[in-house]
Amino acid sequence: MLVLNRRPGESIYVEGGIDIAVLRSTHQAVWLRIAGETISPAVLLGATALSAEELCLEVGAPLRAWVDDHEVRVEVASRGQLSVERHATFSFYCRPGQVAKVGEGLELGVAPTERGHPCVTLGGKAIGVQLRLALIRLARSCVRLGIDAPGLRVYRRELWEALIAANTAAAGTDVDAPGVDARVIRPHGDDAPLRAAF
Amino acid sequence: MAVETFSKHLTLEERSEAVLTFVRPIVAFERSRRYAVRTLGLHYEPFASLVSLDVPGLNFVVVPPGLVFPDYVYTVPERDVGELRLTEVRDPCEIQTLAIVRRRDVPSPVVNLRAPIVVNRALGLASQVVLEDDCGFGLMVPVDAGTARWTAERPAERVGGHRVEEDPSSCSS
Repeated sequence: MLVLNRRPGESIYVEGGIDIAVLRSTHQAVWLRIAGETISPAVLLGATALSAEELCLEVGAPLRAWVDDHEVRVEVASRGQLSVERHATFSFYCRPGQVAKVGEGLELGVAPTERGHPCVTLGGKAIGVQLRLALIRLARSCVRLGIDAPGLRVYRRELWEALIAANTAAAGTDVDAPGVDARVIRPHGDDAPLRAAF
Repeated sequence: MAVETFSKHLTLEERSEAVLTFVRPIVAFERSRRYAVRTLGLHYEPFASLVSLDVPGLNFVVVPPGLVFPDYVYTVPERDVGELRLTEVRDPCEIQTLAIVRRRDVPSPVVNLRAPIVVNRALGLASQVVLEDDCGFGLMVPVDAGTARWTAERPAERVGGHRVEEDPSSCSS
């Protein structure tokens, strides 16, 4: 499990295009924005730790909600709809093993605790695998999250973007071109062959 | 199990072109999985070219970082050890490292030491490995920096380093 500190406004990038942004946090709760190519519209999720085994989950901007003996299902509003403008939320208690279907193919739930820390699960066909998000430490200025994403890489968003920028800037089409200027890639800029420098 | 590797030399003498299959594509270039390592000629050593066999025209200049930065030592994260099947390698020389060199839009060439390409030569597998936050290496280290380590005394290495502090004490509880 990868453990990351995130401040409000910072994000976690999960390979496959899933972005988990920390919107706000308190000493007991955290609000996240879960977005991705397959998650449309983005889902706003609040998680309040009531105990190690029980969480109160809040889904932002609900359009409709269905609750029966077997499942909780929430349809999420898009931007511009009243539910978004009024900051409406739909709250429900959740214990390990229980899940709620939210939006198009996203399943939110609670997993057994990870070393005593409450765990939120994100899964369903919108994500493809089940992500576990352990709420290790919550505070106003920063949250400490543990992320378990089987088979997927998890990065700080800024590192991911920096990596893309670095690779894109390094990719080229001219290295094999005849007459390439050796001095361009020569560390010391002299005319001696590089092998002599080492 | 983490494997410590210290790449000193890219052995390309036996073959003028080594073909690598990336178990995980280079970040931002997901369409290309197969690359050939081609020498740029004696005049350009130790730099080489990593040429895509899947996307025409895509290539990178790479260098074995151990040759440029003698103090470049890192630990391959567990997840990558498994994917690259490094535990099956008996001869440590079969594990090699390449670092991507960037030449455009920078005053002098820089090397990506934070995300090196780790190669399992025995099986022809490779992957761009993103090192842990505490590795101390940057994404843009000048080739002529002299040391791979990111230190306060070398502000030039801060450029684009994007090192994010993971300081638990910064969290107020």
